[in-house]
Amino acid sequence: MSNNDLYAFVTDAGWQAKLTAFRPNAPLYGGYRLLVFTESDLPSLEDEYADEEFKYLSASETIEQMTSGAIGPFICSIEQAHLVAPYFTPVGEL
Amino acid sequence: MAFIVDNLPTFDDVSFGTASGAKSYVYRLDRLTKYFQFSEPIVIPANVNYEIGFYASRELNDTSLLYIFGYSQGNIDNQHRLALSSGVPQRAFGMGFSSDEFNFNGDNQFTLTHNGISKVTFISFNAMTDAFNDQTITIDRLMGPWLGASSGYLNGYVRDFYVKVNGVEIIRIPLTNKAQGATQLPTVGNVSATIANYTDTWEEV
Repeated sequence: MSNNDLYAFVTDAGWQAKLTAFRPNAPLYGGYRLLVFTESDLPSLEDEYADEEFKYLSASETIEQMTSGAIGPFICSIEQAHLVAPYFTPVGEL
Repeated sequence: MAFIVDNLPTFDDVSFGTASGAKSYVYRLDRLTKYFQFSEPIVIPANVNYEIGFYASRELNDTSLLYIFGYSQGNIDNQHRLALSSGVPQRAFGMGFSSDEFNFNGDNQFTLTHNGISKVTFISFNAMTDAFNDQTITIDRLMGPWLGASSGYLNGYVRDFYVKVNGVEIIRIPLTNKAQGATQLPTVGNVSATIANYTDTWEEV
């Protein structure tokens, strides 16, 4: 798959507070919402949420941080998101 | 308000629905966030002959079980998780495919009829029952999460969704119109499909 999408894991509380209008259907993975946006959206998001520390980590580091309840947001590629998301919500099970 | 099928014509033999001609674009889903949400639930009454169909692709590295249709409300137990739940007032409905013999990265044709899933091109299915015959079917999303699970997300595209009841096509949404953006309009019926968590991931084909 090739596209320019980026993903952000944000805390559910953070999503509830600020981001429901932007992504009302953001899925819940663990205690985090997964937001998708384009690369071109990133500068404006960083400006809009300048008080937040955007974190660019590896998938394993992101999992570690999310497991410990870190705030994020954790910015990642689709490939990284595919590694992180199943760790918190196993795909294929109801 | 739910879309209710009424004034149904007499059943005649239903041939497999053919997709419309080749389109210029398909919309690439991400198996993480994106799916199609119908503008209103599609309700198929009990005890009719019906056919639900579409084409879809799937990424080679995605071999998990896939649940395709869904309805977001209602109780569903393990026994009925791939079929209709008898729970009231809402019934949940899903359709599952395993990865066996799936034509990965190809254009797979899926249909579900009153007799079960049609294995049209390399599709295998599991755990289907014939419970679809005598219960109302409600579908409010396609390739999306249902009942809180992420199992419905697709890593690929879907196009040319349609529903026939008693041999008559009541809904068709091509899902291939890039110019329409996030909300894809029907060519038959009144139900549109909005791409949840939309970004521009159209692909020319």
